Amino acid sequence: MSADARPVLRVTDLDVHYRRGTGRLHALRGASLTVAPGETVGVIGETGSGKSTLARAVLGLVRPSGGRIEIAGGDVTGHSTRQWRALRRRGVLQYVFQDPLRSLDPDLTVAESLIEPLLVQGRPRREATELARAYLDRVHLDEELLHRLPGELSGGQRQRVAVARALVTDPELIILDEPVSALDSANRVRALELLKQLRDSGAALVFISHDLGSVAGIADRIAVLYQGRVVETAPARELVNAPRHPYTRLLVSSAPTLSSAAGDRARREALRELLHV
Amino acid sequence: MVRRLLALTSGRIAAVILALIALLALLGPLLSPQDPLAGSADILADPGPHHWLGTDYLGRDVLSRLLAGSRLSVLGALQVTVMALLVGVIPGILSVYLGRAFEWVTLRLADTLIALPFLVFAVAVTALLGNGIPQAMLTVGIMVSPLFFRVSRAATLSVARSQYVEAAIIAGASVGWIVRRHVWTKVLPPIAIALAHTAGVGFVVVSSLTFLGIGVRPPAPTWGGILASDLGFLSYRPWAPLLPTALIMATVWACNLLADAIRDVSGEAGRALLDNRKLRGRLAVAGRGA
Repeated sequence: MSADARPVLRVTDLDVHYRRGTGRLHALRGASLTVAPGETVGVIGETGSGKSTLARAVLGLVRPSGGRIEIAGGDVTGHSTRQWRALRRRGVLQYVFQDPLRSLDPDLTVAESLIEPLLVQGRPRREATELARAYLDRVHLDEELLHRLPGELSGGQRQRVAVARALVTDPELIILDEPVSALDSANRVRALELLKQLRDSGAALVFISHDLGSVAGIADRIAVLYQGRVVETAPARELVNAPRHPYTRLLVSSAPTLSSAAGDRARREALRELLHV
Repeated sequence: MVRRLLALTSGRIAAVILALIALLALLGPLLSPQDPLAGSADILADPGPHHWLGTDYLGRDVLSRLLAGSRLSVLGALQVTVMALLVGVIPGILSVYLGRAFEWVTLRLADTLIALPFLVFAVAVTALLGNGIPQAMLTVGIMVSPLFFRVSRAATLSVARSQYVEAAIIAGASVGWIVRRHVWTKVLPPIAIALAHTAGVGFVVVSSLTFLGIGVRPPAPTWGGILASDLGFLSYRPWAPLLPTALIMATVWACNLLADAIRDVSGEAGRALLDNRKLRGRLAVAGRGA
């Protein structure tokens, strides 16, 4: 986690805009983010702040209009479709979707979904199945689930399958998009436990969420995204205890915890005023 | 897939009927007790020991004609189907993946084909390529292909934007992989239903072309052709049209049954697609057009 190690992800001044009719919608304006190997970085921000766009740009699903993205030391900003495919096949980079039910093909068994990234890499089916079995064990899922369809699993089990699928290629970086927001609170705690385990596996994690509470407990550092910019990056504890940017202060003071429920409403309103100026 | 199909009663019934029809198409002409083209003085005869199903208006043995006609009819319907698959389904799926230019051209082509009057097109093709069954089937296949194009494109579009396809893209899957593994299984059931529909329409179209002397030349028997000529002598042999009709109906029914069975075994995504009202509406509209 040392700062001088080659970062697994470095995003510099990233600009992304979408065309909306005749106008443009700026989703990201000069966002920067660095993730060191093995580090867990939380990215928080409200709806529309550009969290998902940031993830999609890093995954190569959205073309940036400016800035630079480096993955595992290589500049991928100008990659062609073919180069992206080659990069993805190496399995360095994985993504866990927000909704595990929709991210698993309803017609494929758990086993088929799990081995897909390995088969795409060109590994033999037998070897892939063995690996999938091992990873299923790592996320504490029973082997008999291998032959079930996603529709026959519970929400928590599906989430585990999605996480196991992200793990099978032994990635250096896993991006998780709101991995717990689709789960009920009991499963959420279990999923967070799973993410801690994931962190211990050595992969760097980028944990995207709108909820500071679920990020704060697991991330080493937190980056706050506001209107397409990373307005503050700080170690998790520091960010929660001594937020600097007004938006971060607003986020911290409006986190729905029991202690802040009685918090100072006037202060929150003052911060909102400040942001609207 | 095949095993799961045969596990269903409807799938088994459909398979048996279609197998019988295929057998008929293969062996039918050999089984004909008499020359299907040879006329006799004994016209419009009732069924008897000599002519089991009677004779038509030229005194030809109806049983022989039905048996001999099975090959042409089934082959014709098959040719239409294969043509529609080639010209409709494959471009329909690829139109989603091969970029804007290909998409634009195929969509406009499909629109053009829908707007084209069928018979005029059939006559034009015959004039250009000569008269023959393959040419006629080519024409019919191309004319029904917009239905397949639209059905497969709609189904592909709804799958292509799904998260599991995106997950496959992130895993580095190629377009071919995605189509084989994720798209095809979802596109197949609506296509199967459109196919069953077309096979039925195909028999009727073969006969309507026969009227014009396009494709099948008049003396050669087909189920549709026999039906058409029987209809002209309803007052003499009112039950006669029932025979070719029964054969056509059995085939169409078996195709529909098979389509239903495919839908039932094709999993949730396929069913969801078929329950999609828009797609059903499109099928209905396109069906009317054909």
